Amino acid sequence: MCLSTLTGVMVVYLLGCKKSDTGTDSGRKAPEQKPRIAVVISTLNNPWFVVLAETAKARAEELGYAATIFDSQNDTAKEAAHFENIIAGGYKAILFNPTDANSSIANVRKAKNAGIPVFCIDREINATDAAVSQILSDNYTGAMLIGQYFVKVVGTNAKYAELLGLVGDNNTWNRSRGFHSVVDRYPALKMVAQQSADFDRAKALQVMEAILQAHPDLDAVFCGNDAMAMGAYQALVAAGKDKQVKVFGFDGAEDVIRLIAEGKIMATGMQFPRTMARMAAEFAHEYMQGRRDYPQKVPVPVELVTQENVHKFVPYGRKDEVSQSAPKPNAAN
Amino acid sequence: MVVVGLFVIVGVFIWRFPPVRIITRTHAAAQAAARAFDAGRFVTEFWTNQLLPACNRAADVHALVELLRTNPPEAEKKYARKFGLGQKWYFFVCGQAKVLSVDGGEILLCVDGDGKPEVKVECGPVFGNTVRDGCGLLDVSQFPNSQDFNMISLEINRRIEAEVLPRLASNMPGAVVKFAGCTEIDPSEPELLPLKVIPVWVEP
Repeated sequence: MCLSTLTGVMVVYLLGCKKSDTGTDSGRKAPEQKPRIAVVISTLNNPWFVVLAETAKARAEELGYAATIFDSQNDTAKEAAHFENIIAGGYKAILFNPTDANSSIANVRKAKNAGIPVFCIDREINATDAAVSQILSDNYTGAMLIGQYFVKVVGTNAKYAELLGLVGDNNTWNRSRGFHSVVDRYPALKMVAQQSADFDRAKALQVMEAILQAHPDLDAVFCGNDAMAMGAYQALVAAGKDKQVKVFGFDGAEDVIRLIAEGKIMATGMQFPRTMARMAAEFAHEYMQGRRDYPQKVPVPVELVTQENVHKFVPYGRKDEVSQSAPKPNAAN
Repeated sequence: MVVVGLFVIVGVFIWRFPPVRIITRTHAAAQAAARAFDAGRFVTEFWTNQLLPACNRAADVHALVELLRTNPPEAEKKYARKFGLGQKWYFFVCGQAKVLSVDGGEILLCVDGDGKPEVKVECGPVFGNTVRDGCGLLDVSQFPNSQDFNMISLEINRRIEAEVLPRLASNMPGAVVKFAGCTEIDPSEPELLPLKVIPVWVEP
């Protein structure tokens, strides 16, 4: 009797346990964790990069990932710390806008060694065996187009200044050299000042003020990005020289597109941050589904925006750029 | 005695594996120059060993002109190259043409004998990457630093200005020339002809 009672209690207990376990499974099931993608951006202190970051994040989320944006603040040490945290945090892929073409290579290699694929956006690293793929604006050709337009509207006998971006970034030099590949062919077109303003609007304002002090007879200024073009334009307005000095930018940012339409800035090179960011997120998604055959570099054309054709453009893209999915790169490249 | 021994060991270690190496600025500059990409040298070798031999394999300019007149999508499918996400069509062409006119700014060529210009060659400075990207022989992914890739265009263009354009411009109207070169067209433009060709080889 005693034995049968004990057996009965044990059966009831075990059934109870089973029921309880089943209840836990169905009633309090832990939510399935989405795989995570990191979006590491050189700086968010520039609206162009904010568009790049937010588009990459949004596209990654559309594809079913949890995406987090990391701001390197143009500081390679901060960027390295982000990579340490990303590797330790178990992220599955990195969409990466590097701060420095050389210094950033080590971070990409660290991620690669940890099994995390890296896709560079807009800025390159000087290595072809570290990132899975690099989606890059064709800055040289874009700046060459600006150079040709510059000669057309400024003339072949004038004085101009150039504001450079970050000196460690290849985009800075590709833009500068693309521009100079044209203007240097005209000896009477004289560059009287060339200074870095780090792609930064506030620094560009200060640099432009100093240049105007030394060269009050300036005819034009070529700026390596639109943030610096805005800073330069602000300095020109303050000095009452905004009608005298023609401003040229690069990027296709909102403020500059508006000022081109108003006839206050001459031209810019339209990059396509949304296209590049979407493509990087899609590449990462395809990688996680098994794709491995990527072109190392995917050049994205830069288009010239002038007062004559600005109606075809919106900030950060063309009016007809409606596709939500990035176009496929041409196989040859 | 033990201390002296330790000093000797540490001294030998530092001598063998110095924590800091001091080199002269001249030496550092020489090292950097040796590592730097020499676009001029690259283009000299590329021109002789790859570009000129490839002229024989370029698309027939007459056939391309006919297709662009009658069936541009077929011309794209058969002969065009594209660069990255770009929508422009690049062609590497060769053929024979009659010189229609030579003036300071441009040379007009007729490739089909109808007396109308199907090819235009501009004689001024050559800008851009038409030849680099149009010949199909160079891949951007092979160049870790895109600045090097861009310097190749600069060197190719200089060479065309110095060696090829003067040779073409020396022909009188009515002369028949053989040529090879690259061209890019924007397919969204209403008129695809005349082709704006940048020549890389001309005879005579």
